Amino acid sequence: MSTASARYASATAHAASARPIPARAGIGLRLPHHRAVRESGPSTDWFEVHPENYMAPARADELAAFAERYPMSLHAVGLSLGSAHGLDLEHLDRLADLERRIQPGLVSDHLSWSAARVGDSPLCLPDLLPLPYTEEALSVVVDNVDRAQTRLGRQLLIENPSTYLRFSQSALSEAAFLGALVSATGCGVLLDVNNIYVSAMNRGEDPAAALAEFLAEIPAQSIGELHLAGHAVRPLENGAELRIDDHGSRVCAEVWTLCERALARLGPRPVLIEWDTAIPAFPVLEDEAARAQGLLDRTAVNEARHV
Amino acid sequence: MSSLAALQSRMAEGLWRGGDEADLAAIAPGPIPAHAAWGVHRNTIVSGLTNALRLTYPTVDWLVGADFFDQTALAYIRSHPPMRAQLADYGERFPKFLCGYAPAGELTYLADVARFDLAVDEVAALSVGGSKVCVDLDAGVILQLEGALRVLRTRYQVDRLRDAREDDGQSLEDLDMSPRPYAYALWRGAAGTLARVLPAGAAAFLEAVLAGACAQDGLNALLRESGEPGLAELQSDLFLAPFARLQITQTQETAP
Repeated sequence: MSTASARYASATAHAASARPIPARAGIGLRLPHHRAVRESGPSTDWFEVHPENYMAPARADELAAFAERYPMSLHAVGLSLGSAHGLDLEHLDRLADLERRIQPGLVSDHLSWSAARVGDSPLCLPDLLPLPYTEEALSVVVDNVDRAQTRLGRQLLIENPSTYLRFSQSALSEAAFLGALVSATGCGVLLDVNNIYVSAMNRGEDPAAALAEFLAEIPAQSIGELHLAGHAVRPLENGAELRIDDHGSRVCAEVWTLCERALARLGPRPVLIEWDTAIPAFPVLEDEAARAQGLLDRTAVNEARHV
Repeated sequence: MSSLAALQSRMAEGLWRGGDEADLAAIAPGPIPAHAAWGVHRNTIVSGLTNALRLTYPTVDWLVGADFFDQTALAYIRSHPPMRAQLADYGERFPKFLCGYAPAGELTYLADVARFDLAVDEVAALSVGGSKVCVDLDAGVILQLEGALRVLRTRYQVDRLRDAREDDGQSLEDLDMSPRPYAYALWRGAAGTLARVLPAGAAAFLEAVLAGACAQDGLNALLRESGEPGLAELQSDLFLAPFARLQITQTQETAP
């Protein structure tokens, strides 16, 4: 184990009181479902939220109440870990405060950036913007992830984002970049299977080959969670199809197949169903989670057979 | 500035301003044209900021309709760059923006509606049962006010405009829309923000004591606003209000 990994292996002691996220299917908890979850107390094994939606006192109170009943994961979107303009330390502090209160089993953010400086002023855009995969960018992300993990006192999982463009100057593949990041910082990886599919298709590449590269470049033991979601397909004038990671529909068949392949290689992991736009009734998400759980159960059976 | 920092500054500014794509030369060719890829990010940013405004200003959205709200939001976004990581913090200057927004010029009530929406949203974000504001009224008599209590002055009946969303606008038919002074108390209830119309004198008293003034100064403010008839407002609209509680402290008498 690298020095970086060793540093954060012990950091989990900080989260000793956190309820661990089980290697079962979970659901992304969104505002329209709060009442249903509060009143009916579904048998969902764990939930994940965007902590940025719960930093106001009333929302933090609400989240704390959920966290008393369910294991909780915090999936941040605002750390801007890829920003060459540095971390927003005030935002990091707010995340740390919430993390201390909620004691989540997992904390994650993305391999992307959203904040920069224009002139003398900060500009924070609500999007996960792409990075060129260069040595300079790697150095920036390593530094930011290191600072964030130190402040939070725990390992972060870093998610592979959906991408719609690549930079000419990229010298590394996304998978190799993430692998190098893991090696340098001891962070973990949140493998978003839908994003692997969307990004590969947008590049005109084979998603199965893309998945294989991720699994080859990233140590299996550092992959701590998987995400599944739906995406939209938009035809373009040039005849190509643009896939947009809108989290607004059921997981498509191809992504289920990729997920099954990933689990066959990795073994059981927490698998989260994300749905953020055109949010359906909660039973629809439960149905998606049940399908994910079916994959996990088959994975566990297959593992047992090969022991 | 590093080359990555410079690239990110240019990209961020280009995406926010909505102009031509920055650094197209930096983008590798692929099946997806650069402008289409750029458009995904631009749309995500604009829709994210617009939705944040829509959530904070639901009555404004309902009154003007989705298309006009989107157009107004876009104008606001272009002139008010988002500077913080939390979307919930975006848009606090929207009411002031509406005052000078020419396409909404005839909707003279709109800025006040926005101010009310914002106040409701801000109070709702506070925890239930926070610390109280205590005002010494007299020896042994304390007026306790909800800690999240605030006073809002408007020129229109903004509470009824907000409530009209619930009946699909039917109650708008008999709503007096002529401008005149109104005042509201807003505070945090168990299920969200509560609001109540205040007479002007009571509003003046509350504004003074919530700003740290003593009860006598609050009383003077009430009298300046409403004269002696305003004194009756103290009992009916303050002491017996759901956001207030009178506490009588016991005094101990030493036995001879």
